[in-house]
Amino acid sequence: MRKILFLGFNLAVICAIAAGALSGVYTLTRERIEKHIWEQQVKAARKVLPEAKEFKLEPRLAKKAQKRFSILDKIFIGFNSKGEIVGYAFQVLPRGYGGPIILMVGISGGEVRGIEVVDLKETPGLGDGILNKGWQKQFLGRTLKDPLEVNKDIDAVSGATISSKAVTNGVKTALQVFEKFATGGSR
Amino acid sequence: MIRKLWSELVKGLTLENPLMVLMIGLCSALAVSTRAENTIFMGLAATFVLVSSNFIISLIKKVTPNEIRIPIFIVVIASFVTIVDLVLRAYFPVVYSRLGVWIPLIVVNCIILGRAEAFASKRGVLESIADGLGMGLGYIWILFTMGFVRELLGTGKIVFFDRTILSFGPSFEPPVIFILFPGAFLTFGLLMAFVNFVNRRIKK
Repeated sequence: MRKILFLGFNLAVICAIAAGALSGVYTLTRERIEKHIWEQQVKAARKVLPEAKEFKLEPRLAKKAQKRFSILDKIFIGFNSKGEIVGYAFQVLPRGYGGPIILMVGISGGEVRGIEVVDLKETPGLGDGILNKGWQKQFLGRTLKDPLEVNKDIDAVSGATISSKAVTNGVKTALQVFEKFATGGSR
Repeated sequence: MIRKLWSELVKGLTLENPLMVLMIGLCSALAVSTRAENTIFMGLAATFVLVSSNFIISLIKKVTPNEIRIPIFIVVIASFVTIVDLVLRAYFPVVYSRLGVWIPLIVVNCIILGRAEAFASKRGVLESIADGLGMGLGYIWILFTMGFVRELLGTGKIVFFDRTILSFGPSFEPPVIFILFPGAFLTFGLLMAFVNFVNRRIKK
């Protein structure tokens, strides 16, 4: 019994020291990490919705929309310099070949304005063909009236059908979220 | 003393290379060696964890009860991995996003727990640091060689920080297999045959 208490105490001390060191490093790096994440997202949002000057995150709306659209991650509302809503940027996480693809889709007036792959774990040399701007162009101007299906109205990247389908699915979901939940401005 | 430390360091590079001879830590090596640039950061991160955990574990070996040494090693290793994870995320976000899950997975890299158990928990502080550094450098050079070969053959060029430093030119049709999993095994097997051939020569 005493032995067990001694061992437990010993382990507790080690864990306490480790926890202390980690909380120190965490405090020192937290601000920078959060800033990077925010900057990265705003950069992507600006690319897909160039007419917006400022972006605001909408966590409550996103939570509501996630109940129906599970791959939706974040919703950003884009404002112009007068503070009017000019469109939305949706971050969606469609499943690709190597895990979720982080995709930003800019939508204004029910129409795709731009897409940007923020991060991906697809096979280098094959699946990362979806990064090609020329390939991404075919999504511009699409609405929910389009079938948005690979090999129908969307050309797949050769050798990367799964990745292409994932991106298409992500764009379609963003359009559906817009249709159901987006309000105000040039809706 | 210096000679002893030197031999502890050098053995990780060749005769006791963690990947080629001890055959531990293979998972991460096969996975991240698709690009030469990635392997350097992955190798440095693992080396930092290896040296730091070897240092701490050899330092506290006298107060580490034998029965709970493994949980204590894990706590020490996991702490250093988390530190690397946070620092990379704060200061090198681009690199971090590319290495992704493999940074937190350093915690289960057998090289680190293996060296803690087999070496640092029994030896002096300086020797343990030398051992960690040697094993880390041994890990880096194999990883880099694999990454270099796979990227060059699989994509036809070597890219460092968005700059192409070596290229076969546009007429070269790269065999994509080298950046896929089979290519990892092929490259690894051939490299292992070569290193062990050289090692055998050294021993003679």
